[in-house]
Amino acid sequence: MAYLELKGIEKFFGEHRAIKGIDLEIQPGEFVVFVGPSGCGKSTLLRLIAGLEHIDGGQLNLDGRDITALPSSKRDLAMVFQSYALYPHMSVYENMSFALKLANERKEVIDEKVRRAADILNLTDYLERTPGALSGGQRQRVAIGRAIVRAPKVFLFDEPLSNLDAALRGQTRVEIAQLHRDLGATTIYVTHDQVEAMTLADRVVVLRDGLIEQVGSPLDLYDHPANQFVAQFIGTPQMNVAALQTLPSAVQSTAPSGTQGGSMGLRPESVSITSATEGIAATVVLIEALGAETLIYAKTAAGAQIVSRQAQRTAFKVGEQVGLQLDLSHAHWFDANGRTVTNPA
Amino acid sequence: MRHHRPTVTPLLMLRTLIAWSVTLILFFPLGWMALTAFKTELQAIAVPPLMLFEPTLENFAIVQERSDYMHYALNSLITSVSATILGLAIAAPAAYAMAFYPSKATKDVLMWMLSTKMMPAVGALMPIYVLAQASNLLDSLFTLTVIFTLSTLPIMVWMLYAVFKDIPKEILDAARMDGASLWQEARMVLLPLAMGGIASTGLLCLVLSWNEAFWSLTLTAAKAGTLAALIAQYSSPEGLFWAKLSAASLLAIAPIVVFGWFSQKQLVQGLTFGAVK
Repeated sequence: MAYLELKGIEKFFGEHRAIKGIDLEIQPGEFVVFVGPSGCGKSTLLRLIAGLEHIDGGQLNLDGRDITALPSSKRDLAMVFQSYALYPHMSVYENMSFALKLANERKEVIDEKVRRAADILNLTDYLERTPGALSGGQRQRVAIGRAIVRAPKVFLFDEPLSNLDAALRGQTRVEIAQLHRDLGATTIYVTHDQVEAMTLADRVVVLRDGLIEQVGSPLDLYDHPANQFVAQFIGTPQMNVAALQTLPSAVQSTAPSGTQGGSMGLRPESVSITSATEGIAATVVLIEALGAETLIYAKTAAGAQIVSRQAQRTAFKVGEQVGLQLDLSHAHWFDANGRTVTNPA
Repeated sequence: MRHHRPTVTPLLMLRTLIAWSVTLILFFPLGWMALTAFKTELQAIAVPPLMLFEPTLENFAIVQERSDYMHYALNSLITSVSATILGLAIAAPAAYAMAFYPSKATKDVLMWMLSTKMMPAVGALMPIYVLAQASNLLDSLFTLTVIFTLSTLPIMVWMLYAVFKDIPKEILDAARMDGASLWQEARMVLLPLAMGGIASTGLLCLVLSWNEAFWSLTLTAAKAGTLAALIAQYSSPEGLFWAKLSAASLLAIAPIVVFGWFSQKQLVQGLTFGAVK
């Protein structure tokens, strides 16, 4: 039986149906990431689970209990907010102990739990400070600390890293992953950053327009996207997708049946660039040399922009005529509605 | 941008000059009243006006003798403090709802409330007077308190709305996630964060109610009269007695001026809430 179960969850903002009936089952200890473009409803869905928004339709069960109508304060969930939302008038210690104090926990127990959490998060030296006297990264850790002292049933993270700079974001991402491994707590994490989704998640839920597009492990989504949207949302740079009729007839003839009016997708690592005499003729428009890998953007005569990823550095120059070699054994085929017809084996 | 000590420019001098002129013009009647209160009636009407004279406390003695100052002062205190407490109790939940759970109508409701302040009070005089009369509530502290509350309520809601608007909603969400009930959320998170704003709102309501004259004069007589009624007694049938009138006025405004002096920082902060971010 599922630990957290969403059954046909719906949310309306006025006439607008923001969440259109979500079904999802989350197992104990799982790290689930909600990912999607802005406005897809991922934060709203999290707030519905948290009880901060009213659920307009469907049912929400936690640990065998219907919590659809239960107020947030009674759900036993902890949330880390994008803005951290620390209590500015309380010290770090008071921030972290607030929930335990409300739960009438004994003083010694509170003290022990707060100090242990502070120790895990390297906050011991800052317990007496107020949030105003902390850096962004430290505030973030206090927000996490406030969640973990309680040992709640589920941790909810709402884009917790988006206010941090790139270096700190990467570092905190690793810390959150470690924390989850150590605590083994059930976690739902909302992000628009697919790299965070790929690196943290046991399972990724891709959302668009209030609907689930696909649920699966990170690599499952990468290798077997259910449709063109997921295929292009997961992976950087984006998967190359070209409409069937813009492809050379040699390629078109390999298309499986059901792809009429559809398109073909190919990950950048399945495209290689050779000299102009071979493959599909194209012109180099941009080269991104990242050191460990090189991204070469080229434009075909038919106007399609294709990106190639290679481990070696390149001698090609912008404006140079080149040939594209497509590894069709790794091709994804989509029908006219963008649904996947076949994924590579 | 770097901040330098401002250099004295002609513009700055002009601005300083204007500021002082305006201040003096505004202060002059008050200052003149304070001077007159310590003159004899003859000195008070002397032409040209006397600037130097031997001060006397005679007026204050007469005022206290003829009318019981403490009685009126107590009425003023009771009505304005009650109106402030009652007003805060009504305005705070209203402002909370509008600031944290706004609907499409919130802006309109706020504008409508403010618009009631544009209506001249005389416009409502007749119905209110008749109502008070019919229910035997003329010359009562209760009626006055209710009127004071109602007339300052729009301003209180507006001010508290601005105060609450400055507090991020996610902080309240966080409190709720931490297990706080609505009451705990209000008491342990919202109240400490909004304390300054709530205090200045209360102060303003107190000052406005204390200074209110129109309703005090029309709805009360000897029993529930406030200090405004006390002053009015000295501009009555026997003709104007400037010195006694001044003494009565000085007595009436003294408590609130002293009070305002000590809380001016809070008051200014409250009035500019939301204006500067």
